[in-house]
Amino acid sequence: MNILFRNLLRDIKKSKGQFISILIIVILGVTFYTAINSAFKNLSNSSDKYYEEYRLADIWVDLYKAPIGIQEKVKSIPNVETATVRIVNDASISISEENATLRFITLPDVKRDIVNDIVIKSGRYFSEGDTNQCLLDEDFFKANELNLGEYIYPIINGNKVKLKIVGCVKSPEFVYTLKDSSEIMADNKKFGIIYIKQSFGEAIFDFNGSINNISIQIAKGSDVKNVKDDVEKALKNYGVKSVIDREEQTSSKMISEEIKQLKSMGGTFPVIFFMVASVIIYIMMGRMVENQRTQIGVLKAIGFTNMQVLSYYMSYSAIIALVGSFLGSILGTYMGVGMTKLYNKYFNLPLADIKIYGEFVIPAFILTLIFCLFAGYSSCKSIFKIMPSESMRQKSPESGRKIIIEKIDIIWRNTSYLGKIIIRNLFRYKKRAILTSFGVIFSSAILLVALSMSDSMNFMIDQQYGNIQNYDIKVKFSKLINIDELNNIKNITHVKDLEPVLETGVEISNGWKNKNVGFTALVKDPKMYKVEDKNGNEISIPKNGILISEKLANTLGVKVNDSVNIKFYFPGKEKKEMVIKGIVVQYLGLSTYTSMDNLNSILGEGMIASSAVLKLDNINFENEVKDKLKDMPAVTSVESKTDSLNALLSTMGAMKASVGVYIILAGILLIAVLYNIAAINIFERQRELATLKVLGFNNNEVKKLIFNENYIITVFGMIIGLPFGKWLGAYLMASSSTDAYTIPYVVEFKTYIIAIIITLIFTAITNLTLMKKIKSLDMIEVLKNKE
Amino acid sequence: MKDPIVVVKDVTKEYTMGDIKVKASDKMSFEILQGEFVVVLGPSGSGKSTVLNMIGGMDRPTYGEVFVEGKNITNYSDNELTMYRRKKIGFVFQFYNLMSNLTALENVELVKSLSDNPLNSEDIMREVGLSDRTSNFPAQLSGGEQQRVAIARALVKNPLLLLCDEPTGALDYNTGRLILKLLYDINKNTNKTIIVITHNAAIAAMANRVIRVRSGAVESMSINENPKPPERIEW
Repeated sequence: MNILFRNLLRDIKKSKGQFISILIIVILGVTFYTAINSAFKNLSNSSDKYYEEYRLADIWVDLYKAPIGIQEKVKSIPNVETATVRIVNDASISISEENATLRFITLPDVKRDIVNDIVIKSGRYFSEGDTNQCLLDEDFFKANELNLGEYIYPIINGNKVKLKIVGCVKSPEFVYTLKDSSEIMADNKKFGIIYIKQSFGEAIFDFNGSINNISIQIAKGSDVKNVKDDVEKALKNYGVKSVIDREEQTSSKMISEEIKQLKSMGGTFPVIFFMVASVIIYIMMGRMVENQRTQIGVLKAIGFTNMQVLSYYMSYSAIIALVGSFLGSILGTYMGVGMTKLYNKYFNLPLADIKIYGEFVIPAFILTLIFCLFAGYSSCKSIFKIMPSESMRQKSPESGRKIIIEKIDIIWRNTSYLGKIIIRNLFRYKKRAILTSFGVIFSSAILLVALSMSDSMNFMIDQQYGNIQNYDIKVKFSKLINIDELNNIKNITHVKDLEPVLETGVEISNGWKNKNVGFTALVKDPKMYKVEDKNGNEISIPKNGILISEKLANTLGVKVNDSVNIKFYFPGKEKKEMVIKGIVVQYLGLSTYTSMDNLNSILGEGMIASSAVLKLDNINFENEVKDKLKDMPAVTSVESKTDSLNALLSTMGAMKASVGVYIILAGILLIAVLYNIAAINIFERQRELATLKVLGFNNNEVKKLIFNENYIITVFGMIIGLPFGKWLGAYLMASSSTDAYTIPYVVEFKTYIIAIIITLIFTAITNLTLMKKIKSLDMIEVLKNKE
Repeated sequence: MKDPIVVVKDVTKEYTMGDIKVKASDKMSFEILQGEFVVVLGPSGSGKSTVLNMIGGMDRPTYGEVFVEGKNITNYSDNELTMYRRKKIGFVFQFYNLMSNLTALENVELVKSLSDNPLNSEDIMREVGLSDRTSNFPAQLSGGEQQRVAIARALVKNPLLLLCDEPTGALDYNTGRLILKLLYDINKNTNKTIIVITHNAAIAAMANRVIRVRSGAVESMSINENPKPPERIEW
């Protein structure tokens, strides 16, 4: 076997190109497998550890106001392990010459273990004495280039408050600092968390002896749903705004969804590569056995057993599997560390130790071996049937056959003879052509998905910021205000138009299905904050009844004209039954819409608003108006469309980089498959090609025979691959949509064209690398030999 | 006296195999006249195929020159050699080398498309006796029939030279004789210059000119005033 093995190595050396291209695909598969899975493991372990160590709450309760003593009452609820009470309030601040929002959270004056604890990254906890000390969240601190000991001046209830930064912290509660779930990307310059002393918070927010937020940890193994219900009942009289668990909390939800996606990617993505590698191995080894049947016959005649000959050939695929998974595991381990760090740039989990998970190497080895050996066996099992005597006799030439297309006279008559050779050859080796097109199908599908991502994002941005949120500035108030009070905003110079908006949280339910969602009341014919249906047609706001998003309708299992129960968190407001008047599209957040008149009649509070949207006469005065707005009392945040758009666009840059990676992957897939199959094709048909050369066809004409076959397979692959890509993209988009955002899947016509062009370029590159093989075909050498 | 159509002058072909230089032909020289039926005779390895390849424009000599119709083809570029093969040369191989994916007629038509003054392919098919097998694929034809298609394919472009490398080498005795008869008749009827390479000395009897080669050089050359038709030759 030793000498046979040497023979095998020489075979490999003779067709280096093919061996290397299969190897690359296997290496990529293993690399992705190990990298993605170890990034998944690292991230989920660190987040679990982080949550555990710093006591992330299981339940958050938001309420209007409750006395501090409520803490003891909550702790006495069955299955509540511990609870921490605090004040949480948003306020605005002018920083780095921009307007930003700070979420104030109170902490005990003296450090003790609490639910949703903080990690001090630099500086220290509050000291005794000075009331106006604050701790800032690290992301905001760094993004705004602040220093310890510096003073900041947020505006609380219209008053500038002077606060000294004493520490820089991180909390498991805000691993991902998003203001609310309607935002997709964190903008650390514009939103941050600030921690102040409980006593100071009570003073500046007018909360003497009270709080408005409770963080609860529940006993291990108890049911969150039940505890939530009990908590809600117990706090009924304090105006509960919302009771959410980890699955609903913005930061932990984002992280668990992101990690979940990583896990499913780690399962599916490498399998594509393994499948493609198996296909190539299957075809290639099948041909190898076919072409070496004389050698196989001789080996058998000498006295080697079937098993010995089989294992000789199968060791080719075993070598690929072993070398591939060895190199892939090394690469993947390094890439896994890189990926973990990359992902963590955006999560900021405390990654004390990025571990190398050896346990992924073994499954990777096994998985590759199974794929390669299975492919190898399927193609080599014909060895058993080869009879030594027969194999040494000349094999009868394979017959060309008339094919269906020939019946269509008009096509066939106008096909050149070279064309006829190509088409008949494709039909003769149908199986091979179809398997080859698998490579093209996957490749063009990946390409289309990658390229169409920006189509979808552009479409969403266009719809969201061009049609739906057609305002320049949105102002949020710290309390509900009467819309008459909005006149002083309307009177600011350059404010052309103003519409009040009331946004609040509600629990919407249909039978046992329920969901905490936003509730938005708009004016009768809104010009700046509109709602649309799926086709982009404006929907008028109903006088009574509500509009809900498609996703919410699916979650609740309701349709138009069904009734749902809506529970407001305004004290004393009971559940109301409301009729669904229409389904709207909603890309960001999960909300319901109604008219202000309707809400007024339900709440009986008069025409009130929690925010207002503005249009300016000239967008150049945006900053001037923003400055004036944030000095006004009761204004907590001022955000302009430009800000949110810029934040979104900057994240698109990162997305575009990943598109590049996908394009390269698609290219490698396609080139490796086509190159391999064409190399086999050239080897098997060298006699035919040499004959054509002798007959007086030049290299350009001869190469057409192989190249055009590749183009035909490419076109055929694209016919299936592009629609498959569209389906895959829609599936991926739908499965990555969350309560926070739903991105519609859109593929523009030009994207198809680009995908087609790039795929053809890949094929052209493959052909270019094959050119050498055709040019160097030695007529004399080939024709001298008998087949 | 007629001008020679092919002049082979001091042609030496060296191959390098590893560190050793092997001479496939060594200062080989001969001339062929228009319309002659030439048999190049020699044992295997004597260099007879090498010289045919050079006349056919498939290879270049290391030293020496080959003139065809007075033009020195040894100086031709790759492209010029391709054009030369396309326009002037008809090849017939020992193993036929037909396109397996084309029918008999299509194999002929494929080559016809390369020529400026081709012959009618149906006529040629009739001439080689295959009018009723035109739409068969090579795998459906016998060896002799395949070789007839190969001859038809070589003739259809109306070449200046018809070069045949062991045309009967893969055929049985009777079929081989029929193929030789076909070549003999073509030469007699169309006055086309035909060069046949063989190791079978009996075939020499049907040639106008017999060139005997051994160890890469011309051993002897003889003119045969009364060539015998192949049906009268036995071996």
